[in-house]
Amino acid sequence: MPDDRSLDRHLAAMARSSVDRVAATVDVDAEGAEFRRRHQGEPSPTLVTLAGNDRVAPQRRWVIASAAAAVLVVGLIAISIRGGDDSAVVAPPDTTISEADTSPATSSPPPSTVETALSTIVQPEGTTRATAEPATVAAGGMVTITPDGVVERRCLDIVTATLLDTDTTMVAQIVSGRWVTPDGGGSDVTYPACQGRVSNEPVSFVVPVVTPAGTYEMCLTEPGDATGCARLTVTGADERLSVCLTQPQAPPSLVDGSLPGPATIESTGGFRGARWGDADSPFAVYQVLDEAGDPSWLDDALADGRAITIDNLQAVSIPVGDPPLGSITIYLRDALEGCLRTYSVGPGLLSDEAAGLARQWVDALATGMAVTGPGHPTLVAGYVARRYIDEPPFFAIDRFDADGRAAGALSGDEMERLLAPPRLADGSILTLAEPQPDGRCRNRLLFREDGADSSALAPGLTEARSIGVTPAGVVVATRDVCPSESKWGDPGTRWELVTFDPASPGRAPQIVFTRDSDREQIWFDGNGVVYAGGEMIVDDISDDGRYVALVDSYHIEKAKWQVIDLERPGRLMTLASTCSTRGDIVGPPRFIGAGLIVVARLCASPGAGTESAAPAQPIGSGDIQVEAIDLNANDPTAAIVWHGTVPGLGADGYSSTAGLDAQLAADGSVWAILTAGGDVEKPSRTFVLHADEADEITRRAYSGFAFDPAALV
Amino acid sequence: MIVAETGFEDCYRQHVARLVALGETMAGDREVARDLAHEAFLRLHRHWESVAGYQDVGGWLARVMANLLIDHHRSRDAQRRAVERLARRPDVGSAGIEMEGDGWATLVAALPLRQRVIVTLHYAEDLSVVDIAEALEISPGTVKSALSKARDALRSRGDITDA
Repeated sequence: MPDDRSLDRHLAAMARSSVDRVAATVDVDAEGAEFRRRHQGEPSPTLVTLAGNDRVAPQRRWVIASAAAAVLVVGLIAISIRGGDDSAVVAPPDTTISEADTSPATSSPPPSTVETALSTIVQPEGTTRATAEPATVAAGGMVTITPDGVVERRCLDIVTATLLDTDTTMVAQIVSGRWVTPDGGGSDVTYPACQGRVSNEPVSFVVPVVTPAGTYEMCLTEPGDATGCARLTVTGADERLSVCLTQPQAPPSLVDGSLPGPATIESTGGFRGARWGDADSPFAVYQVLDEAGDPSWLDDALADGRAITIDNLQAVSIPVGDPPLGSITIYLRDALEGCLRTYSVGPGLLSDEAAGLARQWVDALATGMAVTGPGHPTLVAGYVARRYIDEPPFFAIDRFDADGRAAGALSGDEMERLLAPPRLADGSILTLAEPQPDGRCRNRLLFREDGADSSALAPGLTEARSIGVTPAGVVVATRDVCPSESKWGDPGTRWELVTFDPASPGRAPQIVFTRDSDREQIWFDGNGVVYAGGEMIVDDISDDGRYVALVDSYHIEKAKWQVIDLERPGRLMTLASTCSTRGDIVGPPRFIGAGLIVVARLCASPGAGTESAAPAQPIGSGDIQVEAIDLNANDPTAAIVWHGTVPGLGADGYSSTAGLDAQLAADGSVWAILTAGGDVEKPSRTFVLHADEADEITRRAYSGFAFDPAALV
Repeated sequence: MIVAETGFEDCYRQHVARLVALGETMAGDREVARDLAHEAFLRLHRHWESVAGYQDVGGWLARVMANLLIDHHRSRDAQRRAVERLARRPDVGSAGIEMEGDGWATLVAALPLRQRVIVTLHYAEDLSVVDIAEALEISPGTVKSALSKARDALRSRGDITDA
């Protein structure tokens, strides 16, 4: 089923092409002349920026920082010479300081200047025209600095602090809430992108709890720009607040609802954190220590109703990256205590799952009751579940026994076997060449690989778009057929399903089913590439090799499934159903042996037609019917051997599809696992259906469930 | 003459055309794009000592351009300049995408400003969701939402073709 990637690639090509075309019309010389004209009066800046978007050795940064302080002081001298005329433009001294040069001889100002600087620093008047509210704050508290006019913030997440009331110059930086000192404290910090913003808006930030007491010049701007620097007195952290931020506080549960157990204190790059759960567990919870979180995330959530609140307890979950591959921060605050604790969970969680976890935590803290995880019904057999991870192949599969107890993850070798290409009866491998072609009328080369040898499968089957191999070794392939120089949508272009038996190499591929191109289903046509619906992709083949399930994409993000009987070419199967009017099959059909197929289907409204009448249109709505059908039954009324449903459980909103796996128990009964009802950022729910029962086995951080791991790849 | 400083002029010549083009794609107006490109280069010059060492100065400029554009729409000064520009131009359309015949410009012209900026950074500059979120100081969720809406809007155009 195609996804956004194909469209994205094309949109990217269009965008870049457009920018390139426009760029070609820009007269660089004329722009340069205009730039000179407009900014001729601009002083030649010698400003030194401490932070960048790369990692710079801390020592080098602090050489620069020291030098910057000196430049600031010289600037102050210049200000005093100008008699404090605020309107005057004070040109900094013509001193350029290079980041690359770390030698004291060149990165520090002359000694006499330093001496003057130190004597000047203790006279803050004139160096700070911005205001701090409150003017005195305990470490760990919040302060708001209001510039004395429009300033250009040097870096959005950096405040430079210069201690004023000592006889030695001490400069530190608050970087994204962390206290970074020149002696290497916080040396592993990643500096944020250094992008300024011109504004006179107040800036609020938390003074790190480890900030030494004293009076500081806190600068939003380059030190020396009094407009953006305020005088702030920091007192020692409140004892209760200090304990709150420095001592680990166990969360009510791990991600999966289990008890957290003891904390492990970890230190990375000078920063401390606490961890509950195994380091390699997807359910571990981390807490940031020694660092007050930014309360604005929680305050904003409280203001707009997104926060979870019970009595004095408040929480909000904020994605850090792109869930489920990124982590999620949960801010938790007891308003009476006044301390904001910062926890981190993921990757693997969707935003809604993290919000659900935060809600459980608040409930547990408010009621004093332990978090209870979901129940785990006893099934006919163990099962597997898929969770996202942040490294290739970006998902892992975990086993659970029939009682729902975790039984370990699939090994790397097992994952590799799952993802392996199909093999022919002689052991050779059948592969489609990479990369995936863009658009219709472009098939992939089809190879047969045997050791180091690689060859075309057959003269009549040199390329395809999807492939499968029956247990007997017959190749099932789909491909686009386009006459020379034609493009998809032109007369004669079509999609077809073919079979080829390598055991009879002289025999031509057999065409089983064709579908003509349909201009009505073209999604995109540009730059010589056509994306269109109506394509079907081989999804599964029955154990007896007779039936093929195909994914039928009718929308760039939506699909349904079709089944073809290879012994009855030329038509799609019309499977018996409990629905009075059959709607789409919205999940992958499962061939479970004994001539049975299990499908997940929507029922259509009367008069809406059947699934084969209009391939481009979705049919049916409402709850999903899971049906086990005897493919060998002659009488359709007797073909349904079992069906089940979960009231209120419809297809996933985003894809209009569902996850399905099924198996036949030793007693001949059918068990099915149905995953559906989700949407973007909203996790699907998973149920085991058996007889008349439906038991939920949804687990936080898992996105797919099946009896057979192969059903999850 | 600040442009003549070592390294900066080469950088200016290397990036100015694309930055103006990027701004024009986002703003739909060459003059606005030129204004903002000059402002972005002025900031680059102010921070030259540190930014010059970045691996992707063009990316830095694109981020600054995006924020300047968003700020520009709030800026009284920009309004004044816009009025002056309008007075100079004999025929001005509404928000006037000026790149007739350009498929991308036509496609994104109907998008709200922030979506236009986000899709341009994403598709033309290949910035990730997280990079865009950091650059514009918005949440990744907001970027994803904007991209999704923009894709839907682009898809909804039955005549989606390139020039």
